[in-house]
Amino acid sequence: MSAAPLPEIKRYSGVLDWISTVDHKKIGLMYFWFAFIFGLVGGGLAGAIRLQLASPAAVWEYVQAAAMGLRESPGGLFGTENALFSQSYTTFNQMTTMHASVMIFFVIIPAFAAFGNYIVPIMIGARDMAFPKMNAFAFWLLVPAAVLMLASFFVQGGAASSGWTAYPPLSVRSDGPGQDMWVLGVHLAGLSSILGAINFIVTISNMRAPGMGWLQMPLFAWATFINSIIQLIATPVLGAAVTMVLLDRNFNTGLLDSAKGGDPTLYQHIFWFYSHPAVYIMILPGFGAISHIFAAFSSKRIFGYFAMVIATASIALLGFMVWAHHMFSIGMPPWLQTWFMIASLGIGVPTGIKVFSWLATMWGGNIRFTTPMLYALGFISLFVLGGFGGLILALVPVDYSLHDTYFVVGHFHYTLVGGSVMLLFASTFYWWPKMTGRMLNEVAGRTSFVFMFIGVMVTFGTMHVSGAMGMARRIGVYREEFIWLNQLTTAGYLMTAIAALIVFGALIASMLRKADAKDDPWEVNDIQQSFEWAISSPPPAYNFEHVPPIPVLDPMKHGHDEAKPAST
Amino acid sequence: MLLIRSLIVVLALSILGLAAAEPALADAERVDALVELFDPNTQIPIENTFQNPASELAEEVQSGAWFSFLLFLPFLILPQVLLLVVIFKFRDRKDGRKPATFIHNNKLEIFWTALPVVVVIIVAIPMTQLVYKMDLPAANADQDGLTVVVIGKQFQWKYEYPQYPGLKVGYADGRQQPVVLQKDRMVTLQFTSEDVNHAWSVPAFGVKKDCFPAPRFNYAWFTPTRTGFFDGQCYELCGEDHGRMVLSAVVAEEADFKAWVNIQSNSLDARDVVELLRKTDDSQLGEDVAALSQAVTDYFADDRSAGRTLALQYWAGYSYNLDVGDQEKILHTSRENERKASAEVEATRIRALATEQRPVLDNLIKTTLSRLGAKPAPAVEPTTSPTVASGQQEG
Repeated sequence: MSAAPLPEIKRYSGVLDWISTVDHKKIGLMYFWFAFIFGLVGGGLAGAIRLQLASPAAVWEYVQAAAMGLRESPGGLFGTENALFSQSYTTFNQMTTMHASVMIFFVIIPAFAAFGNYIVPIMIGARDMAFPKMNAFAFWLLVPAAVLMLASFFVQGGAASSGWTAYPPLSVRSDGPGQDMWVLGVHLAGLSSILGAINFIVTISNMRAPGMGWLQMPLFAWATFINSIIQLIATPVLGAAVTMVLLDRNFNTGLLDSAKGGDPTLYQHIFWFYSHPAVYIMILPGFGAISHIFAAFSSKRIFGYFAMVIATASIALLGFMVWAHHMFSIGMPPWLQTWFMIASLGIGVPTGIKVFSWLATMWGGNIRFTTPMLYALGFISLFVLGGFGGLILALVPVDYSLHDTYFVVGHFHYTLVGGSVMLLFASTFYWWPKMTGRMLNEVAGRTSFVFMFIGVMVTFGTMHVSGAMGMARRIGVYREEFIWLNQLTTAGYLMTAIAALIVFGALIASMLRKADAKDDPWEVNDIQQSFEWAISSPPPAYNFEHVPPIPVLDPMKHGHDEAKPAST
Repeated sequence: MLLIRSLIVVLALSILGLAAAEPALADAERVDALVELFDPNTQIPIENTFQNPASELAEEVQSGAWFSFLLFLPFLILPQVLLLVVIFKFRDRKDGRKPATFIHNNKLEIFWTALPVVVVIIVAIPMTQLVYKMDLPAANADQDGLTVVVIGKQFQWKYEYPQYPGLKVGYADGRQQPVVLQKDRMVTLQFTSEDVNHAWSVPAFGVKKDCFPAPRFNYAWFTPTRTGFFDGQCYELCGEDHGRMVLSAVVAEEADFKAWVNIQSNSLDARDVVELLRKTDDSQLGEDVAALSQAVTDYFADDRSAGRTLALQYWAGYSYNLDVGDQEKILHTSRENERKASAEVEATRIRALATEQRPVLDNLIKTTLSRLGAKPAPAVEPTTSPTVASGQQEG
């Protein structure tokens, strides 16, 4: 097979090249840096929250003093006196709101889009995404979205302070344009997600290398595909929910105002119809990625490929049927609560299949403890813990006690930091040599893993304890029984932050090095036989000069166990 | 039935009337005990959600939580153990060992799919029963149950007792006043809000419900099983001072609960008298005593029942206690030594004033009552619940 000469796509150089590029690899890298930089911003916001909560001035006796009208308490970072930012806890609420919004819309979702963009076309043997210009547009939409959200800190009234959930009537009542800017930011970020999702669905459906059937597709491509379907279905619904807030705020439509015949719980249902699947948007691609990592560093092939595909799809399907477990306390009929309880517990089944299959993938292998593998192993440990908390929270009667306490915060941070962020770091260390041609420093990587693992355990483990003791979420003051737990949590936060900074340092250091990574730097392709390790690091423009050979490895079948090079 | 009941009421009234011939002054210890019981300044160590259930429902929730926890526990431990096994057993020893080549195992896969399904079913059955039990206030309501309307408002709570006309408590004297419940008497809470969403919860009761703006109502029920002071707070982000939107509940024995109903029902005019008493100063005691005496006479003009006397005594004790509490709080929280010192002096002064002035009031009540003579208390307002009627007479 010989191909016509590839067109030259480099029209500009330098910054203009990056701005005008429609190359999926460059867009993937831009997604990556965008996500990482906003990760540092979101982490900084978390730091402000932790600083307030570690301050002894935030404790209960000041609540009491304040309740008595003796407002002499400084109340920590965001208190009434000596305040760093303003004169009220509104600033604290802005921090929690923006921490969540930044981390969800500008860090975790774009970060998986980064790997999806870069790796998936290569994995399926395509030269680019189906709609390269739409791909670039989807990325550049994130920039005004992020600017709108973060600029709201500087407008009159400050940023949105009603939580990332923006429940009405609080979100409808707040002053200033901050909440409106938040809504518009969510609209733009959502549009970006939808365009990206369409692009992935079309690319994966139509542009697989000849001979690669659906069930020969690598699991990361499968995960990105299923993830894109979730995004395509769910994200417009989020748009609808926040649009109602926008209308109620500016045009007095009263859609969510019970005094005007609206219904505040309507918002919650619609919001969580997006935001529960969003939880899987933030983790499914990572599930796909570590399947490859486990296989690669155990020198084995993926165990139970078909079951993994089915499990991923069932998680996505069930993910659409459990949204109301976020809102049991709004008062629902018991039959409805029972359904949401059982369906939520049911998600544990496919998740369990995945965890056991990963363990079976490693069983009998020769495990090499590289940085990506360490992160992936740590992920299993932490994610199982996080998922366990989820099972407890799914039980309606128990949820009445735990809802809106720090137990919930601990639970979802275990799955999002111990889960998604660990997966992202694993993927970063695994694919960075391919994406840039530069290896990341292994010593830095392993050190960051140790900090990250212990940091997550300390930070979010203590949150489970304080939550089970009854500490409410989203409070800037609390009673003194919780102070040592909160200070421990803040110490854990520092460890996690150090880990993130080490990774950041390793990324910067790698960019200063020569691009000398081998095509198959992890020496995994003998057994894995995946397109991305068969081409150069970084891959050339358009990836493949020739139509790549049909996959040499059928993940469903034995028969290529005697390793053969992919090129034969 | 109604005839017999009203006969009993009439009989009880006449007995009470005879008893009132002797001025019914509650002894100081009883008044102090009540002041302490309903003290909004009370601070208790936090009780963990799953440690000290204070209602039947909370006990069931707790045992259900432990049951599920133990059934789920193997799925927490097993992967961690297998992970360690994998890490230690299958690490690359560089001994040329060939990695295994299996890629699936149907029996194993069916097993680890089916087993969790079975466990989910085992857990879901008792939990579903509990969901239905927790949900139905109407079916579980007994006729003598207490109903409390909980109204959230940025950043305080109001409680209304529709069975006791006019009985409302809330944020007063710069404090969130506790909601008072009766031990072993089922309570149905009706939640609503005046502005944004709130969530009312006392962890020890195992109850948490959102309060949506009226006209939406939410319901929850439970039966407190333990007397004491319980803490809670708002659990749904409701604005700037959400963290300070605290709440508390007192569970009292039946007699104390009835006394409290009485005390609250008579709070308005009793507190007027107490305010006058508090203005009384040593220097002009003679002049003020006349005014005070007139106020006490007016207070007892229509109703000289023992309950009304207790209310007056209570609110006097409450008033001094409140001021001492303020000073103690400054003592506890202030970082300025000057303020601390002055607070200490002030607290001592108020305590001395209380020991001096409360007997003055008691004497005044006694003389007023004997001067006005034994006059039976007027018949209490008719209320919906018979329990309530007898409660107000006995108090």
